[in-house]
Amino acid sequence: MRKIPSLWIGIIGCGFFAIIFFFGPYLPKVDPEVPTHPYVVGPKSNLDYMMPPFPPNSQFILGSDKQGRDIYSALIMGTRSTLEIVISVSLITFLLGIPFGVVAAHWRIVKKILHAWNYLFSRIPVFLCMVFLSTIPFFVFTPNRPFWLMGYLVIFELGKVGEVVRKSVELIQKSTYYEAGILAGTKRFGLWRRYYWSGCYPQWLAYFIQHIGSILFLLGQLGLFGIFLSQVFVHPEMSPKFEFQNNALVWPMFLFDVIIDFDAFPWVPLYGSLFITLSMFFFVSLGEGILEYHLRKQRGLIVQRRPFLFRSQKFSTKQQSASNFSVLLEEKGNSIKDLIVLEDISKDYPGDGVITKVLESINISFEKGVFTTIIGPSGSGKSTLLSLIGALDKPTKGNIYFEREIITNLKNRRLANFRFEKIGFIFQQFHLLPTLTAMENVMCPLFTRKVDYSKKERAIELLDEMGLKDKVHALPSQLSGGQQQRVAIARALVHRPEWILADEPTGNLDSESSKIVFDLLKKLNKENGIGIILITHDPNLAKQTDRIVEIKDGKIVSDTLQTCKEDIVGL
Amino acid sequence: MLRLVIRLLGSLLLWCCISIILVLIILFPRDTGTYRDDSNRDVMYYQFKWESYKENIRNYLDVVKKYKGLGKTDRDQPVETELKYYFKKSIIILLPALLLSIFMGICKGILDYKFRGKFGRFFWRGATWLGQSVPDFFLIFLVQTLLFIGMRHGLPRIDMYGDDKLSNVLLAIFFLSMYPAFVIARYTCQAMEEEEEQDYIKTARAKGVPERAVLMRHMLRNCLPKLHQHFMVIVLTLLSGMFVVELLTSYHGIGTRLITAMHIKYSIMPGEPLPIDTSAVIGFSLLILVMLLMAQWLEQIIAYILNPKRRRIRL
Repeated sequence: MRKIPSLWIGIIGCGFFAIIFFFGPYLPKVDPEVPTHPYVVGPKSNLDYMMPPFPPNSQFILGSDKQGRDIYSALIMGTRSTLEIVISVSLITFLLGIPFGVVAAHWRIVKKILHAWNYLFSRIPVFLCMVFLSTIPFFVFTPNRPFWLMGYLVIFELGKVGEVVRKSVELIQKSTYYEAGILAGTKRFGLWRRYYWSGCYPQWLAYFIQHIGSILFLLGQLGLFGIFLSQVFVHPEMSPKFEFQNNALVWPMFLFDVIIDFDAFPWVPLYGSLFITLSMFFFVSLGEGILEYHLRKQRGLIVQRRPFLFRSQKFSTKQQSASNFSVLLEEKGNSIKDLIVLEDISKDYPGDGVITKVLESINISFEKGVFTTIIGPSGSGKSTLLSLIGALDKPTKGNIYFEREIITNLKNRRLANFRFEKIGFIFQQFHLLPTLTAMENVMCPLFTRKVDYSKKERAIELLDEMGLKDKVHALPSQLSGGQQQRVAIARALVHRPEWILADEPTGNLDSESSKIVFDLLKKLNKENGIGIILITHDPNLAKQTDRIVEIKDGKIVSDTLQTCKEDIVGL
Repeated sequence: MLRLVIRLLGSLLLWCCISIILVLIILFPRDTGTYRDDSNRDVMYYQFKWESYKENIRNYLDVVKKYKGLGKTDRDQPVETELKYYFKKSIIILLPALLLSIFMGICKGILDYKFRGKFGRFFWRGATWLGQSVPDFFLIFLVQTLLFIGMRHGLPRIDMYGDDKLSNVLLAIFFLSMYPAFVIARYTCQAMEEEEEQDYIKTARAKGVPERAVLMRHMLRNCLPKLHQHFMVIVLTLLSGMFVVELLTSYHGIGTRLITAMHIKYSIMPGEPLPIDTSAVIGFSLLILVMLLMAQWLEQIIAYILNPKRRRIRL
């Protein structure tokens, strides 16, 4: 944090405005009433009258406006009204824009509505629209003019905010660790808490702060033309005319005076716009600083000893020895139920007018006790097959049976539970959350889940089994590739899955680390009876497994059983 | 190509819809009424009447038929004549400002990216934050004040107001281009930082490609589609800025003429209507919309040219 000047500038600057906001009336030389002075007596004689606007002098530090109001006092006292208006507009926009954007990221129809909204409301400058609307007689006479104008501003800005939110959510959806979260069986709420919220809120916060600055800019532009959100139409006493009166002291009101004779009294608009500029600068800096801080934190350059999201993590008091895990599985043994059956599975990807057939009429079954390897050239459909087995994707045609249950028809919640209970995924790219320690990464699938063992102890136990006892509190960036993959294996094993689906887990590792990882998988298969389906390009590794399935152009071209296992079913 | 044509036609269709909505808003009846309340005070009110709205629309259509164009302004000039005159004035500052802001913005963005050391980051990027935080109106006030002070202390006299001298045009271009330039600088720097992470950049560096070539050929070229996404935002910023710059420099262009035609009132006598120069407001609003449509078409054509799939087909 010390090395992010923008953050510090933003904090100090916004703190300065916060002091003015709350303690403005108590600051030195501030007249809270901001009285008007029709004239002041000149310094030389009582007959020497001066008419406003008064230039900066000992009485008026920053000069006065045309009504003889002290600009210094008016700016200080106007801080509250100005910031209240802009923060209200931004807050309402974000309160509506965030759900809008999030829903748009999930539902295609809402995404289209958002696009149409943006198309409609962002094709004309907002400033011009506001000028148009403010001159329509209905909005001139209505006593609720400020609310109407605010509402219009919100409508114009809503699409932009929604779009930013949608993009940030979609970015998370495309991230590898989000994919890992789904595969780990994290529930929808858990996905929100763990991935979306933690990934998106720094961006939203930064954008919200910068948005306040942009609204100030817009209000300044409108102020030049005498249009203020706090303006009402009134009939003053002793005047035949109806007039627009500005109900609140706001910074842009000093800009309106400039239309006539700027060169005669430049201080009036200059100081008014200076306040807008300063606040914009601080808001922009703070927003940039927050983004920078978040970016550094993501890269592991800023390490929190205990990330605050984990502070409230309560561990189950019900203890169970982790060593029971392997004993339980050994007792259970293999049974005929331990099958994954793929029946006439096809998978197509439509796009750009061409349908790409990735898998065609695949009929195969996998048995838990058999260490199976899937091999084949790149693009042959291996990873797609694994995604289908793990219920990450749905086949275009066919059914997948998992212990006699069709998993292709499962609803989201049951699907998440299925993945959580039955399957552990391991990837080539590890997919570890960069801001979490090794232990927290292992615990990741268990958040928002109630389990009857101690989450923390289970994670430590597994890391110990993986030979990473001394790396429990290390960040992924502080681990080697092999170590990261072992953390990923521990994460996959944390809830004792029945199957492990590994997509080229050794693809990014050197031969020594590959051997360690492969031996671990082999041990899990032999000693704990966990079914393993492994994708690899390494023929030497494939030779050491029980069964090799070769895929080419979306079809199974060979299925070889290497070791004689009489009790293997479904082959 | 067919897809591009469909997109262009889609934009045109949407443009027609927006234009019709805008014209219908402008033609809203603007008659007002007054009554005396119990305390004997005048109260002004507005009551929407469909009859007067229909009449306004009918009247405007009659004007269009009669003049076979957009009608006549309150200054008794055909709208087309005024559009032609003011368009020339505004485009002289808008186009150079757009080009200048893109050029300056990209250059500044590259420098922001290049000097990312401890101090470089603070000064170069800090300057971009500062530039982004300076609204166009403050820049104009500041420059005008400084020039006034300078001229009082012997600086040669520079004409800052009006539209007939070169200095007026140059100053307007400068004021108009500064804010968008810093916004583009920020987008450029961000896009380049994203590109830096890509494997092909690492590969290019690993293969010993000179840094300048990596920067200009690999990174900047790949940044262009990302920058292009912000094109319409920049155009909209420029158009908003045009109103402000024209007002504060007394430059007689589309912006000032449209605002004048709208007759913004700050005080009204009881019973006084709130008229606008309907033909002029519709004419100038449509002109601005046409400029935006052109910008959008340009954006779509650039997107088509930059599309890598198209390049692959050509190969």
